[in-house]
Amino acid sequence: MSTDTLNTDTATAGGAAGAGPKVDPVTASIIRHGLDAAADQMLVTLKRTAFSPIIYEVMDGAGAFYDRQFRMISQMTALPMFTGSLGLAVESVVKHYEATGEGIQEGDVLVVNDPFVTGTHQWDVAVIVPGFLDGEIVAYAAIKAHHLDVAALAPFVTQSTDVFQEGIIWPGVKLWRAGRRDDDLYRLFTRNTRLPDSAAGDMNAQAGACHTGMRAVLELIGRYGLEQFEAAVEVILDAGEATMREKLAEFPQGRFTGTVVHEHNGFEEVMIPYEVAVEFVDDGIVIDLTDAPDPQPGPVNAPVIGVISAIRCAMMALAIQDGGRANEGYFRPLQLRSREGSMIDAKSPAPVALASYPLYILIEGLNEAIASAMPDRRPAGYDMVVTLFMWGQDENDQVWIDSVNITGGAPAAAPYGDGGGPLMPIACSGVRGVSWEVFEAKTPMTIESTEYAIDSHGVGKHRGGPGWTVMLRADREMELTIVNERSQVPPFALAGAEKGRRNEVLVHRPDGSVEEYAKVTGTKLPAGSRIEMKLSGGAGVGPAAERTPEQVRADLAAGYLSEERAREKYPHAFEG
Amino acid sequence: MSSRIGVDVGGTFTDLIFFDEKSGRVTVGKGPSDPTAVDAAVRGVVSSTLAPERAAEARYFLHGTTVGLNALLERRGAKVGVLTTEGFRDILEQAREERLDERGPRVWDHLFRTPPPLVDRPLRVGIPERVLPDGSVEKELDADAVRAAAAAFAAAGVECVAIVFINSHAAADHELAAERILREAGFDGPVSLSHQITGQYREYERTSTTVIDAYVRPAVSGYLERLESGLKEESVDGECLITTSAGGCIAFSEARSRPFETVMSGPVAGAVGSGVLCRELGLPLAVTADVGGTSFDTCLLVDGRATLKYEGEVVGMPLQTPWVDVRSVGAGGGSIAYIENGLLAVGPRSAGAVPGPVAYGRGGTEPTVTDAAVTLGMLARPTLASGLELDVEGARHSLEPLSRELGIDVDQVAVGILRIAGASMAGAIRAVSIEVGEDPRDGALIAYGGAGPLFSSLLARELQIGTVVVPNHAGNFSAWGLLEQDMVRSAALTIVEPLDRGGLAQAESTLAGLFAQLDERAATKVEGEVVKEAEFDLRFIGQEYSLALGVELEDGRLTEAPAAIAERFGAAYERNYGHRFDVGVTIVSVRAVERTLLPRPSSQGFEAEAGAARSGEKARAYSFVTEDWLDFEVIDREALRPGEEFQGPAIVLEPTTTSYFDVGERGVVHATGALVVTTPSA
Repeated sequence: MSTDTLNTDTATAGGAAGAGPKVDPVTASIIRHGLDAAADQMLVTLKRTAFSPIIYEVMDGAGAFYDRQFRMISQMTALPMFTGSLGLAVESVVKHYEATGEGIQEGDVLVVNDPFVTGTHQWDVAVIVPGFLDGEIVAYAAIKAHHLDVAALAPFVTQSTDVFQEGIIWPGVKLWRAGRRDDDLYRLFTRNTRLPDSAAGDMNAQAGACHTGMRAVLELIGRYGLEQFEAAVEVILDAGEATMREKLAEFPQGRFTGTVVHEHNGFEEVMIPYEVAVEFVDDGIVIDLTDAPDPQPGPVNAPVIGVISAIRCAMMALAIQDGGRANEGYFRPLQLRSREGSMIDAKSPAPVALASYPLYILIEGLNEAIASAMPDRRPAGYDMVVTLFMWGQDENDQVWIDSVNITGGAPAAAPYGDGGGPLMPIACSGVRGVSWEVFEAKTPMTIESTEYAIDSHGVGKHRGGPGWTVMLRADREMELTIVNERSQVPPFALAGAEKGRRNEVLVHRPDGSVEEYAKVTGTKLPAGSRIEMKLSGGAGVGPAAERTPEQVRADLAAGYLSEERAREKYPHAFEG
Repeated sequence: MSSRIGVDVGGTFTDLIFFDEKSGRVTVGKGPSDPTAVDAAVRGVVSSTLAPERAAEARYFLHGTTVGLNALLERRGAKVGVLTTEGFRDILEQAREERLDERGPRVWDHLFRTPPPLVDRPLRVGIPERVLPDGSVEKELDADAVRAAAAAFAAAGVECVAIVFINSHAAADHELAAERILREAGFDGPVSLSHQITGQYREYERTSTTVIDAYVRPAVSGYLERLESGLKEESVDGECLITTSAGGCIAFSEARSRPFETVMSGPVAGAVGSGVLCRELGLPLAVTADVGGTSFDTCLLVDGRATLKYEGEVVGMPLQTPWVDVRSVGAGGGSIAYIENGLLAVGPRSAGAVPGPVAYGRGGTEPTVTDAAVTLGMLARPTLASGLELDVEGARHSLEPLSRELGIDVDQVAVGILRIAGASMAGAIRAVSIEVGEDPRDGALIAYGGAGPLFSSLLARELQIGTVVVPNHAGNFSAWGLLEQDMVRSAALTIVEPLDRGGLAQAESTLAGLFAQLDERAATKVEGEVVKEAEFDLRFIGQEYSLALGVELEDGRLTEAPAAIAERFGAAYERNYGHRFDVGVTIVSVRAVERTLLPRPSSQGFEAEAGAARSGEKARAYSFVTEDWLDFEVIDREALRPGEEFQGPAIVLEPTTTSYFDVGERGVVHATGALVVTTPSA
């Protein structure tokens, strides 16, 4: 793919031509509300019925509705990066069944986790439910959510060399045909996981939630008629496009660049820098990723479908700041220049288990570029999510798997000031941090500390939010996968401020040894081991010399800053 | 004799209802709310409505207020100190790393910053101690550290202390011991203990709830104290009771020590009153439509009972307490209409009481929902029953800029504003019902609040609901609902046991402890029959989220077999989510509920005013059915007698609200005075 891959909405790009709208603006607005409410019903059902904490507690999943041209028409208020390109997955699976002549029937439930179709990795399993009216497909509901295990070499891997080591691949199959479950496939599905019960529970939760959402959409279509509904969809998408164009017009035209740095290829620490560019042009915005390097030997590559989603996610945040919903219309002014076969336009069988991380880092690079165009539109850099997966057997020899996804100190931002409490980066905004009491109740682990760390943040006129240190103790023997993506390069600072500390994940074993890992798969932890996560500090904005002495004193009083460091970084606060 | 006064404080008005048990008569009062002096406004409406000798007859004074919520919204709470497990002092600020504040979720907001926590870091103190999830003690409580914290709190002028130790739901000893040590060290302010506040796990949510309790305590406590003594001066001598978020009321004295229970009580009384109405009218399923000046509130009633939920967020902060599942959207009579991305939008911004809608002539310039209704003639007369003169021309004029921008005429803009506001209200009604597996089409719509009966026709059509009920005194119905409550206390504890014989035995002994705890809590004994109930939060093994299910309790014993409870749970789960699982069931939490039944008002005791009659008056108003202007019959509500029939198009006027009935709707007056209207959807 070379250009224009972002603009999949060719049907009406640049505004609807031909026949005028068949819907009044009031009805269009009502239908928009109806779609958003349906998306939220889908979210509530998913959360309330899922079996895995990574879905119900953490919300590592999201869903949306697509029209029959596979355009996203509304999404649930959850993980933005999941739904941005799920329409492409729906399209690909549906087209397969059209090509075979079998087509899609009412009551079919399709399952796909092929990373080169869904954009991320096999753990993210997408479920698709078609909606029928009078025998015709009128819309699709789809939910992608993280399954705890898909029969890879470990519950989460960092050292795979091809996609086949990363779990079973469902290329888009009908797990239910016309309302009847395919028991052969279902057995295959539950046999290809270390956690068959929760996999089955989560699958049913996803399918049930899609059905709930689709019922609401069909009721909406029934109330207003298909013709009005589809005309309203055009109005809604056109409004999204107009908003995006309006926001883009506020930026100075030209080319702005940011730098992306990977620190690790899955096997060894190695700096992999490349440049990304954002070009504000007359008819929209061009994202240039042609500088991206070749695929890496380890699983830090990403399929282009995921990259499209990441870019949409980054650019959506230009147009919407509040709780608003994305739709395909917003994406129309976006164009991508990609280099086919690069690490972020990777082809099967490249390993992609950690695909989310190149996507998060890519969004940070784009943010840096945008911040250089308009400094008040972006904060300093966000921390990446540090991920742990741990697993073992409980006292009844049952397999358990759980995970911790956690992020460091929040960045400062020019218009508002200091960084506050930690925040997930925009790409996984909507994902919730762990509840430690739930985690303790479900795992043989004890949390010893989760406190802010002194002198961890980046100083500046506006300081970053404090980093924090989490200490976990393994009370039984277990195995651990670590993904730490800011272990060398802390999040970027802006306008002359400083960066905070880097991320550091240390394992203290009972024999007294201490080892730091950036990425490791299934390292063994004897009972009594401790995992120390020293999370990065938020980066600052503006020169430290401009911070007021009162603010420095408040940082000292709060214990964010030691006097020694305060005197070093803010000498002006101690003068006179 | 059990005459009683109900006073409900809303954002715009303070409403009063007095029920005289001897005569069965009802007296209605209304006065402006004053957020800066809420208790004075309450006294004002009491003294202006009731002569002292009548006020003195009231055996109960029942109250609904948002004082606690306002303290949170305006950040005017106490200086709070937090004692927590060493290593966890920053939980309150880490807040699960979400983009969530009083505006709701902000998933796209790059520049989002977490709101400042209610307690700054220097006042959040970690204490060496540790309890594990099974209740075993890994580290004993360090008494010296508590003493040191007490000294630091005293030096900092801390007014209230919240104590939240990790896993205290499994073993509360350390929280209790820490309180004791604080007292010994001389701290004499209020202390909130997390295990007594929620007893449920999730440390951030429990911390947030406990801190909110401590934070609003002086505001709520001081308010209730001032109000109680002020009411005495107005000759009110009855038992003072306040509504909780879960519906039901508690004594002022108890609310002063558990203020978090009242934080979300604002829209609850109307739900309780609607429940009673459902039982009187024999409605198995109903949804409410309470439309005020700035917001729309709705809840679902099954067999006259509102659905409860056990967690939620208030101004972006989690609150783990039972509350009536009322959904609110920012759409009311004062909601402002504007254009967003080329589409017409309504609310959540409101003109409020000041400046109010353009039609009220108090300086409002932006078009509101009320202005749209006035433009369409839906209020029938240019003078409201309350005496307010409407500026009809001004209202119409305010819609013109929208008309120009959208390219549709002013009438169509007005119709659009009402339909869009109605659609977001309908969305909330669908959410509150469909999420628990009920279809609003099978139920009735109960409309009240100042603007509820104006919207009932539109909502019934949008939702295909066949029956609309407009209760008596609909504009003050929330105050009426206050009179219909029992005293209710509840306490819950997370236990996580399998639903089997052993689990039930465990639940039974937990219940005994919870009921004992409730008895200790009751500072004031109010006379009345006491009913004890038990409820489980259940889930399938392997799941996390649970469903609440009432279980049979006789003399403190759980009488149902595990299989019977499991079957009822499976059925309820299937109704909610469309499927069930063939795996075992877990008891997550046990809840003890104690109701003290208060004597009820005998009925709404309705009589039409003598001499009032239907005059045959007509007014031109817009019909949403024929999409044209028609003659509507204008009826004064006091002229409608029980059993009397009427039919749309008609507009019914009364001092507190206006009801609009469109073409094809047929109404009859119920014995209680409620208007029961059958719509063409029936």
